Amino acid sequence: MITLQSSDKDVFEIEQSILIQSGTIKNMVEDDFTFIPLPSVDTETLIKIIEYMKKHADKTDSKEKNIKEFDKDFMKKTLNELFALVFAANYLHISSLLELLYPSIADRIKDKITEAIRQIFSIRCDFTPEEERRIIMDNKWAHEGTEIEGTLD
Amino acid sequence: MDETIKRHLTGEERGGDGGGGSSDGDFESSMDRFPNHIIINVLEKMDLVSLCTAACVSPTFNSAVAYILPSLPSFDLSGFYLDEETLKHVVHRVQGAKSLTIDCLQMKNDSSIINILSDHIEDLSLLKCSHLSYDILRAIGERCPNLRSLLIEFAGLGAPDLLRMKLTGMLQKVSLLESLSIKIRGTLRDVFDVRPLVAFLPEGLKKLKLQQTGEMFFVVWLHTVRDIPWFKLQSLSLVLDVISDGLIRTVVDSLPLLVELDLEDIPFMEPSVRDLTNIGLQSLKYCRHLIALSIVRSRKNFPTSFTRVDNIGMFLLSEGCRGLESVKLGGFVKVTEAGFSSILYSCLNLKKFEVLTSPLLSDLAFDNMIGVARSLIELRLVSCRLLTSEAFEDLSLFSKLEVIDTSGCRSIGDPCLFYISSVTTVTKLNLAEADITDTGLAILGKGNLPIAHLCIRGCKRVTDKGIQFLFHDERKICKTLSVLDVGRIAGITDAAIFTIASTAKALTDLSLRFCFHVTDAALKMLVNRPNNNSSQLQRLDLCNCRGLSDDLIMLFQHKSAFRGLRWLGVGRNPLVNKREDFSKICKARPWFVVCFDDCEFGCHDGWQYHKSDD
Repeated sequence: MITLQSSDKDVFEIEQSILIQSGTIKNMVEDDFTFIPLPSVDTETLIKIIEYMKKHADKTDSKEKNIKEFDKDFMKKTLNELFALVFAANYLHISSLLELLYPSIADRIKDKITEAIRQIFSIRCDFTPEEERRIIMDNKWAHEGTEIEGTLD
Repeated sequence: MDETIKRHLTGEERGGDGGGGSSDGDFESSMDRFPNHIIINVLEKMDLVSLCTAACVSPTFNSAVAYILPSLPSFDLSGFYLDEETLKHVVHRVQGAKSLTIDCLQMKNDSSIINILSDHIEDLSLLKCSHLSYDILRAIGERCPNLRSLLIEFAGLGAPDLLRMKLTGMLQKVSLLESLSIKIRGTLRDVFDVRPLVAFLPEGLKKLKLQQTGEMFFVVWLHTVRDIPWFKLQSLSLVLDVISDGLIRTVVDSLPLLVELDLEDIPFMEPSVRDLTNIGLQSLKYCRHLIALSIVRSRKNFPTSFTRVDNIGMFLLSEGCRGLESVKLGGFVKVTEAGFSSILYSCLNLKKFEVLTSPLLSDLAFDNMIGVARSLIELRLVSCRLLTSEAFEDLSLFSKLEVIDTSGCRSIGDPCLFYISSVTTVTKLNLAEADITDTGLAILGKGNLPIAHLCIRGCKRVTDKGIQFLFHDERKICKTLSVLDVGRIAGITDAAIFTIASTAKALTDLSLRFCFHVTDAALKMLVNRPNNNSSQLQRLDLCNCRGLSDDLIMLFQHKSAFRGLRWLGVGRNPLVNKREDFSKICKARPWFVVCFDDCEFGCHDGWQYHKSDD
């Protein structure tokens, strides 16, 4: 059994066989660590990650459809929850979860206008006004009629 | 912290440069920026339009998009309005692209296309080359030696020898070609001379599609290729002047490995001796790998049909070709339900079944569907006037059915909708000219099907109430419907448009053709659809909507109204008088096309010759 500690100092004891789906944890286990602090993963996210790994630990054929259903429901979270998961999964090197998260996040932002995407990712627009004008001109062709900048509703 | 733990916890990516602002607010994490590779991985899953939006977000996003674009598998630019400059610029950004699809309607000269050809291209589709010459073929041969697949549509130039010469030149250079599709429209004189295809047959050619060719030319060609041992064509699609027994028999003889056969003929006169008979259909059994078969006689030039094929031909076909998964038969007027049902019973893997114009097909064909193909996905029975609702009684047995088309079957009524409402997988439904009423639509509505395309054109007994019953607020159809055709229904008034405007959130194509009672108020409602959660209307057909006034032009002149509109049909409509005003609007929005004739959405295949063209 391995002990994980979240950033909120909550501890979880999980079987090693389940946790090796995380590349990071696997490496530490191989170096004989049994207590693993995860200062960048909060409790809520860690619970979800553990839930995912538990479900995916048993990959026998009969469970495949079951796992697919679970994955579909697992992605029905808020965008912020998905972001927290993608950071955690990236940090923990869980590639199957990442492959699930990338298209789900892409789907959520694909119909948004530029300003909305900036807000979602909390990004400042680092373009100079000149650069910004040029970039918009470069990409205008794909947006006939509808505006890239648009207005937020 | 212990050094080794620290080492493990220092991930590969310590955040990207630029593009990351502080994220105070809902998102709590010790990492306050998105690492570049996460951004790239997310963006990789987006489509071209979204990528162009994302590129404008920040310098980081812009670099990520620039990094991703060249490695996207294919670029379908056919939905965009691109002039020569923009096209060159866009293709430059996706340098190294292997697959390109381009709408060439706006390209006025060959150089605009020649400039973007490169040796990376393996899959090229050039649609609607109305102003381009056959010289493009030569250029393709010279610049795209790695080409595997070519699709090209020309406006006929009346120069068959030139075509042959340029085609020969190209075929000599594209030795890796596997798929060739050439369509020439509008002229009889460029009827495809296949002789170059004999001399320079690419070794790997698997798929050939020609429109239009002559039956006699083609039979000669088939005789020649029969002696070429390495030629293994798998897919053949032809539009020609007449389908005869001789043609089919030669096809079967010369191309025994055929998997798909698609033949359409457009005779100019009643076929005499050379015509399709039962014997021709029987010979198809020698194509043992045949999975898809389509034989259609078009009445475009002359009102004729396959008069020499009857039930026996169908029995022989269904017995000999049990592996068929897709069957389309048009113009078989002497075949009754016995013939057609033999196919349903024989071909147990049938996924698509389409019958066009069969006056003798009756309900009995579908009488006992219990033993029949459960794998059916698309069922189209067009203009079969004997069919009634009873034919669809067993429809719910087809658990994978997605497309149902009964257009032109006038004897179908409300009970049919009851049967259809239990088929939960239906996404496309066409009931044009059916004898259904508001009650039927209410029944359909209760079924809560996730319909994306719905056509009830010409269902004369439908009124606003029926539309209301259908679009009840919480129903799936409100979120899924993108194409709606309620044309030729006198009972549709502004009230129905109000329902549609407020509930159909994903609507992109709307046809109100010949709806005489729709007024300006309805159009104003369509403009004022709530912006968030609603899609933009892209195609709107107002042909012969006599209730409209030409004051509506002011609505279209407004910059923010109908922002996503790409095609508008105003034939026989008071707006026809506003041609000059429209041309000003179209100058400002070059992607916006207004049709002053009676064309359907997008002017049929997009490059219909209009009487009103200069």
